[in-house]
Amino acid sequence: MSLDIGVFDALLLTGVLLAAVAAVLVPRRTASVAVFLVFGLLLALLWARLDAPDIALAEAVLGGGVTGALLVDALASKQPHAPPRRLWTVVVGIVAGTIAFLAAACVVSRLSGPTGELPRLVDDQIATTGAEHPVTAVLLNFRSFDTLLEIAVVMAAVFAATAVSDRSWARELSASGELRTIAMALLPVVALLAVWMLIAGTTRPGGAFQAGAMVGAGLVIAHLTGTRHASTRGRWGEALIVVGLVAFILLAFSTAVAGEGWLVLGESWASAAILGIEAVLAVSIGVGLARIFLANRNEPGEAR
Amino acid sequence: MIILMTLLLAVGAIFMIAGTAGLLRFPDLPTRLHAVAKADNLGLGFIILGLIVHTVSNGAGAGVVVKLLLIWALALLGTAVNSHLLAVREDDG
Repeated sequence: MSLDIGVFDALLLTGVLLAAVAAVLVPRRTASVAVFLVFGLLLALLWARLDAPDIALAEAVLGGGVTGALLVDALASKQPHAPPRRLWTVVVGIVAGTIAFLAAACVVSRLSGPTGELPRLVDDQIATTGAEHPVTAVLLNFRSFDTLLEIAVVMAAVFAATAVSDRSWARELSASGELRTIAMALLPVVALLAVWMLIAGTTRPGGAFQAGAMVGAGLVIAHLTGTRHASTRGRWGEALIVVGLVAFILLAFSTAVAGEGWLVLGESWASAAILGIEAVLAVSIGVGLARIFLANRNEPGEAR
Repeated sequence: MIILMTLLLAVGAIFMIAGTAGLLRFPDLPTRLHAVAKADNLGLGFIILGLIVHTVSNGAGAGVVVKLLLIWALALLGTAVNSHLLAVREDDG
């Protein structure tokens, strides 16, 4: 490991560490959020210095942009509303939009197609992965550890989103005749699409996340039409949300113990393993999405 | 052909943006549904039309066109049903 870092890198590294500590320790919330925004910007620069422009972009957009916007919004809602100054808002919006557009144009115009050797390597190895679509091959074979962590994040987000709801959710709704007709017409179509997207993922765009979105939509429709046993509340719902991550971890352990290493899929059974794990993940993701929807439904008559 | 396709896709994108702006800016569920259900379906329609132009000018088979139209039909049906369900359940919980 070489310590060949320049002055700029050293300053950047120190700045990131200082900003991280300051963001936690600064007593005032507004100052804390401001420091956090600086931290996000510095971290994005650091990723860029590490030759990881994609992660730098993700950090800038998600860590700095979206999270920062949410934090500022949360701060603003705590304070008494100042009378809106529309003209000022419009001017700031136009200026910020122009800057963002120009910055994005600069970055995009410098990109030279897919970066480096990776697409060719994926194409060379795709026959051994058990998936014919490069995205599926990357998600569930080459970089399956990333996907495992993503599933863990999704699961944590679902439980966090339902934990902050007021628990007055998801009682079964009554079904009238017309709604039952809608459910009977639409639910089979949704189920068919979910399965198709799951299986399509092996050869073309599709896979667990898309199928999971369909499962979630189907569960929401089932709940709204008053279909029985469609609630994702309670132990069963929780078990179904957890089962995706558990299955993924079990696969990782069993390949580590009995196979060639963590999440190394054998060529002969890789496609079966991928389809199996994607099916379980689709159920977990779908139930999780439906649960977020149900947990955030307000009782009638409440202020919205 | 490319100009026509780009025009259709751009118009579709504008309607989608308008629908999304409505979803974000309107104050309550019925007005939001109103924005999304109408503007997004129109936008999707224009995008589908643009893609059909693209498909035809590339000489792909009629099957692709039928599939694109099916996608639009399913989206129209789904939006109508979902908007209805959400609006109805707004009243009785």
